[in-house]
This record gives sequence, C-alpha cells and structure tokens, in this order.
Amino acid sequence: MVYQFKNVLIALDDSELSKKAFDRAVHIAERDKANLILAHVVDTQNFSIIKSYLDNLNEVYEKSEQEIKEKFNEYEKIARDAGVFNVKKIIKFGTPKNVLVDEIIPEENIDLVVLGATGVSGIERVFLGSVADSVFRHSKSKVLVVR
Amino acid sequence: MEYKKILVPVDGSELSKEAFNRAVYIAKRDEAKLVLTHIIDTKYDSAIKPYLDIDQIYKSSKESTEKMINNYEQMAKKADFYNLKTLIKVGSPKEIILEKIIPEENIDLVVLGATGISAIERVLVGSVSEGVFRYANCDVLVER
Repeated sequence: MVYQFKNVLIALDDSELSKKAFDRAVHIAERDKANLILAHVVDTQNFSIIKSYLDNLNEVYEKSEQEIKEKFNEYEKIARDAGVFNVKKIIKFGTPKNVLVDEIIPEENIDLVVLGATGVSGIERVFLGSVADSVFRHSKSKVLVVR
Repeated sequence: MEYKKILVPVDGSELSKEAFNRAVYIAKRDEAKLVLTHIIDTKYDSAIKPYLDIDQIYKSSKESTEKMINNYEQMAKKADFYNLKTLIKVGSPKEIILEKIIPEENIDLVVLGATGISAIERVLVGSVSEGVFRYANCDVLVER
C-alpha cells in the first residue's frame, strides 16, 4: 500500500484560510513530493440575493476572482518556498460542496483533502460543517480535518 | 509538525485494518505513540435485551474482541512497531472516544475508516466516524 499522497487539496471556503490547515497541507505535500492544489469555489448563491440590484453581475464576479487570485499567489509563494514543486490554483463558481465533490476532487485525482476547522461563531461552524460533511460523505478521497 | 499521540479506533473491518496500517506508518515516521481502541457497543442493548442473553453476548464479544486486538498487535509487530497501547472499553463508541480517550490520552490525531463493520454503520456512512470527524478537538484523518 502506498502511504505517500500524490494530490493534496486545500480548499478555501470563504476568503479566509485556516493557517494551520494550510501549513499542514504544505508539510504533507513537501514531504510526500505531492502536487498541492489550492481551490476556491465562489458561492454564486451569495450573489443571487443581490442580483436584481446589480447592473453587471459579471463585474462583481470578476472582482471576486481577482481578490482570490491575489491571495492564491501569496499562498503559492509560501508553498514553493517550503519546497513544494507543483502548486495548482483553481477558482470556480457555483455551490462549493457540489463543485468540490463533483468536479474538482475527481478531475484533479485528489487523494487527500485537507480541511480547516475554522468557525468561531455557530454559523461559521455550520457552514464549514456542510462542506466538510459533503466531502466526508461523498468523495472518494481521504480527508484530514485540522484543528 | 509531527504528531505525538495517535488514536486508531478499530472494529475488525477491512477499512479498519487500512486505517491501522496508515496509523502505524504515521506513528513510525513521526515517532509517535499509538493507542489502539475497540469499544464494545452497548447502544443497541435495549433493543435486543428482550430477545437475547446480554451476558452471553458480552462474553462472546469479549472473546472476539481479544482475537481482533491480537490480530492488530501482530500487524504492528510485523511492521516493526512497538510503541502501541491497547484500550478495550464497553459503552457508546462516540462518547467514549470523544469524551474519555481523546482528552485522557492527549490524542493529537485520530485515524479511522469512513465506514464501520455493522450493517447499520454501513448504511449511515459510519455514524461513529462522522461524530468523531465532526466533534473531536484534534486532527482527524478519515481513511477510505
């Protein structure tokens, strides 16, 4: 049985990243010489409420994407400096848990998903819980939750 | 970043064996202590009590548990790993793991299979693993 991971995914649920989870994902990727995949799914449901007030929803999406790209560049640098060779950045739009489980995880052959348990408030915990729960229940990859 | 104390709850299923092997691999690599546990589940006692002799069930549970644990201890020996401690308990697995073992043993990583061995565990996608995954206050690695 192979114990080294090949494709490690660290997902950002919102614009904040659990530093501990990221550090752990980087540590694993460097040690196992694995690919590190940074992924973020922009939750399009958030925008459905304000859609009717906006003239150009595309501009809002583009701004979101740009912000995430900048954050990802920072994280990529940290990972490379720590010795991870291959860092891939994926930004998609949709319902986070569905896009993660149905698209990103199978397409990238993810064998380990690293999740942070953020959530100071009860609401945050519920939100993270539903993504983590989906990944736990439905994906074929192993899951590491970092606290 | 190394783990120090790893808990691996097992139930004799194939997936438990894989989780155990992974736990041994991590423990060797990180020079961690490994705590192996099996909890004889009393959750369904009140349902079966009218039909079967509970004491008899516990007796044969204990025997098959000891066999199972022995198996795992052999697996560890084969992998040249000796820093292993075993805990056999009776009660509600989720409660005992979350409220007793993890705090008392200072566990920093739990490794467990996504599903369990019983028919109910398979249908509910491992209610014990789900509970531990959600509520443990340490890292949890789910094997599948």
